[in-house]
Amino acid sequence: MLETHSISFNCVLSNLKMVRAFVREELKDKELSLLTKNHIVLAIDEICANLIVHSNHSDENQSIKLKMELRSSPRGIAFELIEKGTPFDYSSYKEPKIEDLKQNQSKGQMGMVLVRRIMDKIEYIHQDDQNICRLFKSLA
Amino acid sequence: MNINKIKESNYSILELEGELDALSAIDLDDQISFLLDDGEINLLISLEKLSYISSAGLGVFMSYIKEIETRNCQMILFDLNETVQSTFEILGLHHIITITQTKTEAIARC
Repeated sequence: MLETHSISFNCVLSNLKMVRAFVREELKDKELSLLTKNHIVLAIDEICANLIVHSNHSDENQSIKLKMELRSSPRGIAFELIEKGTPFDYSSYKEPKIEDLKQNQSKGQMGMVLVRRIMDKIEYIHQDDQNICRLFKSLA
Repeated sequence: MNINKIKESNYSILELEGELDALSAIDLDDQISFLLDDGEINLLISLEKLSYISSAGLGVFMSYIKEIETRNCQMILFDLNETVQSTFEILGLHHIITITQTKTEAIARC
């Protein structure tokens, strides 16, 4: 582990802008393509939006802690999102078909698909009365 | 995110500026819904000044595709930058949503 940075924010969608700015700032000096940086920002934005809306019902009295670590072995960036809302059962998650989303005129359900395309590891656990979402993006 | 609306003779343009996320997608949804309810059949959406899009924004566009087809209308996105384009491509949405490189190409399809 080389360095760790974190922020905490209340569960309102207006905080997503700050979350993106935080991740962008932390990635600024990393030797990554602009596209890769944007994809990482996007994945974190998607997870945070889901945690705000679905796990915590946009309750401004609830908060999420986002931790970001640059790791050397394996080389990559690790994220941890900690909150106390309704747990998400990732083990039961089934990815929707895009064509079905079009037919159903669905506005949602694409966020997790994006995260799964972008991140190399995704883990959801419930521990000590809190939910922890761990994400890892390999830089190997 | 700011949305600038321009009405021309046979099409309307929505110019999106800033970042389209879960919060600002609500406003975009309202704007598109309003235009379609108002009888617009050619809806062009400029993403030239859009620096970021998340699934919420993609979802708004996706949710109108079927209605657009049913009404025999058009919804065309144009002037996507590389970052925004790549987000559509991750999900293969560039094969489902009509996207042109330039405004001229979008207008030509109306």
